[in-house]
This record gives sequence, structure tokens and C-alpha cells, in this order.
Amino acid sequence: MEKILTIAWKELYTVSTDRVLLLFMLGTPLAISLIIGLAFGSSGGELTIGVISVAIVNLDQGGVEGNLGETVASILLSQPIARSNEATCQLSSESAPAETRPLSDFLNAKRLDDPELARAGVDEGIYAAAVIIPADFTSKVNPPRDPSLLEQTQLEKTQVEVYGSGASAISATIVRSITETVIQPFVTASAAIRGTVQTIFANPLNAIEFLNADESAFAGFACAYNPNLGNISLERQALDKVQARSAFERILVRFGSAQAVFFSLFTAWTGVQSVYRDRKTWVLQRLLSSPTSRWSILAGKLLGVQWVIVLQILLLLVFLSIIASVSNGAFTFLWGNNWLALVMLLLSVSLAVSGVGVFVVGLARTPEQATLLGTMVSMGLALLGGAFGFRLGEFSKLSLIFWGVDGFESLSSGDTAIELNLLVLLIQGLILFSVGSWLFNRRVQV
Amino acid sequence: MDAMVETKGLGKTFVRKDSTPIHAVKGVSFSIHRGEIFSLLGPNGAGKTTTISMISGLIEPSEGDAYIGGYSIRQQPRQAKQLIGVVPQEIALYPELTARQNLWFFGRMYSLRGKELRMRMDEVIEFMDLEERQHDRIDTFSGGMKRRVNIGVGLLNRPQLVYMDEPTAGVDPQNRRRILDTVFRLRDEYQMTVLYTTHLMEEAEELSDRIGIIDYGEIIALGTQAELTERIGAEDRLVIEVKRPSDEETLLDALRAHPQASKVAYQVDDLKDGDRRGGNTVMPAEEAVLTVYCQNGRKLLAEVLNIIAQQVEISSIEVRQPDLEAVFLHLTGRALRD
Ligand SMILES: Nc1ncnc2c1ncn2[C@@H]1O[C@H](COP(=O)(O)OP(=O)(O)OP(=O)(O)O)[C@@H](O)[C@H]1O
Ligand SMILES: [Mg+2]
Repeated sequence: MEKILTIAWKELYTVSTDRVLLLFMLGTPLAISLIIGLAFGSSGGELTIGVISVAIVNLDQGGVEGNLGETVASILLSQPIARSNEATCQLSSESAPAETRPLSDFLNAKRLDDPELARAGVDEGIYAAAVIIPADFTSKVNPPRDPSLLEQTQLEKTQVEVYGSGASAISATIVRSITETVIQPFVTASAAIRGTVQTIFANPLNAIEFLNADESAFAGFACAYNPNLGNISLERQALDKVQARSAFERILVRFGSAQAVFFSLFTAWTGVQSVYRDRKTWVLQRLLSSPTSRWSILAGKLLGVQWVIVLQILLLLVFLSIIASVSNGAFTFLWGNNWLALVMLLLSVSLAVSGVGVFVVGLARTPEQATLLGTMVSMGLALLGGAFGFRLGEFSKLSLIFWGVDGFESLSSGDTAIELNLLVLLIQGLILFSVGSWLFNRRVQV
Repeated sequence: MDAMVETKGLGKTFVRKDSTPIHAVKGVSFSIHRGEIFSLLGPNGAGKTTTISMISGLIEPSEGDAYIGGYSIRQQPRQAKQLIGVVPQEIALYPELTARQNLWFFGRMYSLRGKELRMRMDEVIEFMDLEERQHDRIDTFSGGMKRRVNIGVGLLNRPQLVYMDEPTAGVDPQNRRRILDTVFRLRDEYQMTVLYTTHLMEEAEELSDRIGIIDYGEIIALGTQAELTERIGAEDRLVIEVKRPSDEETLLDALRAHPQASKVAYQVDDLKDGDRRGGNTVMPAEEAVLTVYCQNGRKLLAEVLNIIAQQVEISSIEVRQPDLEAVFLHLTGRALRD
């Protein structure tokens, strides 16, 4: 065991002394995340943001309390929010804090009636994305009013569709991100208020107001905030878990974590591949002729690679948080407040990533083949998993990057229900790791 | 005598990608005595490294077995490996680590630690004369320095038996001298057994208590240098460079007629000669080399000169005592250096 740890330590030490490698492992993904973040999520205003064309289709048929879909649509359209029982709230520049920018700076939204027409518009490139609010939006978001029914009712997730175009992938992602920001309070609110249903239903919009009391990115929300509306008692505890994220932060979370996992894939297969170098320089042979078992040498190498990957992703997560903090001018931790979940996700992602590395190198017959295969697999997983700015629907779920990023996004937004992510990553990691090690073991022959 | 290493029908057959077999080592049996320097002398590709790899437990023999201090390398590799220190032909070090870090790392692989490990490291660093550069990275070292660290790592575990696979490859004369002296010290001061491989006759001659000559995977001769040269008849050679005579046959016949000349060889090297003068003018060789084999070279010298001097002009003349080169030539019909 000591020998295994020594070998692993040596691997880690070697990486830490290689400045060029460190720059590639840490500098490049950070730079990419930062550039994308600044270009598309800037709240500081140093960079102008291209206005994104969006089609909004509201099919919501509403409920007794009104039409929540219409509220969402109005926010996205930067229109005054019409309320059934309230005076119209005007979007005024005074009501928004000075440094925030109205949503209309980001989005050029147009209302359409036909979802098919909207999707076709996206396909034709007229819109970067289409936001389609389903007919049952209000009814799904709203729990039944009758407390006796509440016991049996499961709260369902809303099915707002953001139809994105591959051609303007980044824009589509931003629209998705904005839409999620707008919708999330409705969903979270309805979860938070299970115990205090009666009060909240005096006016469901209060949920948004409360949740966004300190949200400054979107002027639309500032309008909705009105402490005099209704008498609300929401549990503070429940609210604390919800972390509102600016567009910049969301992009750091999504792109940043995707880049972290993407670049760690390179670390994985190049790290495992270095056994070929060891064989060429006869270091491997020297190890094998010492009283150290082949198994220990293999385990040490893989453990070392695993450590490097964990540290790489961890450092990137920390650096992304530092970027967010600097940008916000205040400490901002991007990855939620559930440390246990975060550590578990980090470890599962690392295992899945190193599994890919072992598998790729084990599968290849020569170091050259390993390089080719490693590059292709990393790129493929990145393409599928969204590291290049767009996702490919259900196919994305084939990529560990998707599961990792999805998990980090959940944690970031305060949602700790990432069991599925952990499960998928762990199973994938274990399978690839075992099959890969078995294959790789043959490559350690001299 | 007590055998430190004993191989029994040890053989290795590699299989190429196109599935043609390469018989790198063909069932060799030999033993190395405790406390001796044993050289394995053979040309490139003879099977020296393959033999060492098998007796250090690095590759599985295709046939036979080897016993290190009584332990079978196949059955008890762990015990056998504890006795061995290996100095590979390549610089088997981590270039990004310092000399000291390399020693530490490989020391750990022999389960050394703490004070004990530090003591061994200091010992090796002193022994290999590495104090000044011990904290520098290997990739900043000269070839000779790297070789010395490479040897040092092989000595960390205070082995009873050291394998050194061509440890002087690519080393300047000064460092070579140092390394050869080190080998003697290992035997004389530390009572180690050394298995030394080389394709350089001079090294084998200088170092070895006994020598095994290996060619095409077979040990074709084994013994002390005296034994080896005796075995081939221990003939001296008169090597005479002459201006090429017009009538070669008459000259050769005259020499062959001498009762004490057992064999006469005659060599004209047109191509080499042309090369040496350079250019594109085709020149037939003007010189030739006559080699006369006989029991006592010095005695025959005068008579041979007498015969030749009447017919050709002599450029140089030399009496060579039998050496390993001659042994190899005698056994294989090829020069060792080819
Ligand atoms: N892994 C291998 N696969 C196939 N053939 C091999 C392998 N290792 C060695 N050989 C072949 O076996 C033969 C003996 O090689 P070996 O390295 O033992 O020679 P050597 O005496 O050490 O030569 P050198 O002086 O060049 O180091 C050579 O023909 C070599 O090509
Ligand atoms: Mg060799």
C-alpha cells in the first residue's frame, strides 16, 4: 500500500512541477469560461451583449388565480405585468437598481401564438430560441387549493420548452438560462409553500417577489417586488436554500463546470498513457524488477491520475467562484451549500473521467492510437455533453459531462437532489474503470 | 563453488507482429559465482538484455529457469528480487525529478523508509560522487552523470548481485574509467557479485573474472580469458600491412609453405580504400593485410619478414597475442565489432 501511495504521489508531484501542463489544465478552461461568461453574461457592462432574438409562445390556459404563463411571458417580453387584481405594474427605470440592466438589453422577444411557427423560426435562424409555455403551466405550478387534496398530490415540474438552435448555441443556452431563472421561483415557491398553501394563494406572485428580493440581474423582477401585496408568511429556511444566480454566474456554472470536466478528460487519458513513456525509458522495467507487484504499479499510477483529476476539477471550481466573487465584488460561492453533495459529485465525476482515461488507453494498441482515440473521445463527450455551448437533447445524456454539469447546476441552484447524477456517474465510472484496467493491465507487459 | 546465479536451459522466444518467432535467447545454462565479475560479451542483438531481463524477473522465460541465491525467479520472484540490483541499459530515471528524489522513489520501491532510506541515499550519493548535483533535476545532467545516477539507483537496496547492462554506453573516457573503477569497488569493497554486459572486448578483458561470449542467443564460450584463448588453440597472429604485390598468389604460397604457419589470411579492401581517399575516382586498393596464424609469433617474425620482404614493400607489422576478438573471430568467423 505504501508503494502504491508513493507511486501515486510521484504522479501528482510530476504534474505539479510541469508549468506548461498546469497552464493547459487550469488556465485554458478558466480562460474559456471567463471569455464566454464576459461575452454573454456580463453584468458589469464592460462588454456589450448581443441582443438575442427569441420567440415567446404562451399556451397557458391559466387557473383560478390567473395566468402564470402570461406573467412569465411578460417578464421575458419586458412588458408590464398584468395582474387580475392589481394595478398594472410599470417597468420603470427608477424601480430597478442603477447598475442593473433591463432584460430587453439581452432579449429581443417577440410574441407568437403558434408553437410550430416559433420552432420553424428557430430552425430558419430567425430566432436563437423559442420559449414555449405549456397549456397546463399554471395548474402544474399551483398546488391544489384544497388542503385535503394536497396530501396526495405530487408537485410536478413545469414543462416549459426552450427550443434552441444549434447554429446559435450559446445564445440558446443563455435564453434557456434566463428562462430558468424566470421560472424557477414559481417552481421553488410552490415547493416551499406546501405547508402554508392558504396564505400563499392569496397571490402566487408573492413567491417571486420574495425570492427575488435581492435579485438584481433582471429588471422585470424588480417591478414584481411589492412588499405590500398580500400577507405572506413564507418559511425563511426554505428560502435560504434557493440561490438566485445572475446570468454571468449561471454561465460560469454551466460552461465553467463543463470545461472543467472536459479538460480533466485530457488529464485522464494522457496521465494513464504516460505508462508508455515509462516503458520506453525503462522506468517501468526498473519498477517491475524491484520487489513491487505489477498490480501495485498499476494501482499507483491510476490512483495518481485520480488525484490529479480531483484536484484539477476542485481547483477549477474554486477559481470559477473566485471569478464570480471578483465580478460581484463580494464573496460568491457558486456551488451551493451542501458540502457533502458537492464532494460526492466531485468524486463521482472524477471516477467517471478517469474511467474513460483507463478505458481509452486500454483499448488502444499503441501510444499513438491512444492519443487519437483519447482526443476523439474527449471531443465527442464534450460535443454531446454541452461543453461547446449546446446540448443535443436526449443524446447529451450519453455524456458524463452532461451528468456532471447537470449536477453542478443543481447544487449551484440549491437543489441537492442529484442522486441520479451520482448514480449514473458512479456506475459509468466503475464499469469503464474495471474494463479499462483489465485491458490496460496487458499494456503494462514489457 | 557457490553459485550466485544459475540458469538452466533459459530461453526466450519473442513473437513478432507477423507471428514470426524471434529466438532471442536459446536455452542457455551458465552459473555466476559469488563475488565475481562476470561479463556477458556479445554484439548488438546477441541477447544480453533479454537474458538479464529474464534473470531479473522482468520478462517470463519461454523455457528453463534461473536461480538467484537459490531462489527460482519463476517460483519465488519476490525473494530473488530482493537480492538483485538492476542497472538497465537505458537511463531508467524520472527526468523531471532530482537525483535525490529518484533515489528516494526507487528506495521506497524496496520498502526502505525513514532514516534507513536517507542513510542509503547518502551512501549511494557519496559512492557515486553525486553530492554537488544531488538536488538538480536529472534532465539537466550530462550523459555521464545520468549514467552514474542510473547505477546508484541500482545499488540502493545493497544487493548481493548487481546487473549492469552496458553501463558505459555513450559515456566519455573519463566517466567510463570511473564506472569501471566502481565495478571493481563493488566486488572488492562490498563483496558484491556483478553481471556486466558489454559489446566492448576491452571492457570485458579488463573487468572480468570470467566471461561468457554470447552470439545469436547462445553462449558460445565461457571461462576466464586465459581459458578462452587457450581453447581456440591460443595462436598468435602476425598482422602485416603491405603494398599490394603484383603477384599475390606466389607470395601467399610461399607463406603457406612455412611449416609453422597454421593459416594465412589475405585481405584487400578496395571499397574502404577508395572511400578513405574520397572523391569519385575509382581507385583499386594499394594496400593489403596479411594475417599469419602461428604458435609463437615473435619467433616466426624474422622468418616471415624474410619471405615477404623479397616480394613486397611492408608498411607495418604487428604481433598480436590471442584476445577475445580472436576468440570471437575463431568461433563465429565474424569480427566482434561488425
Ligand atoms: N520485446 C521484444 N520483442 C521482439 N523482439 C525483441 C524484443 N526484445 C528483444 N528482441 C529481439 O531479441 C534479440 C536480442 O535482443 P537484446 O536486446 O537481448 O540484445 P542485446 O544483446 O541486449 O543487444 P544490444 O547490445 O543492442 O543491447 C534482438 O534480435 C531483438 O531485436
Ligand atoms: Mg541490450
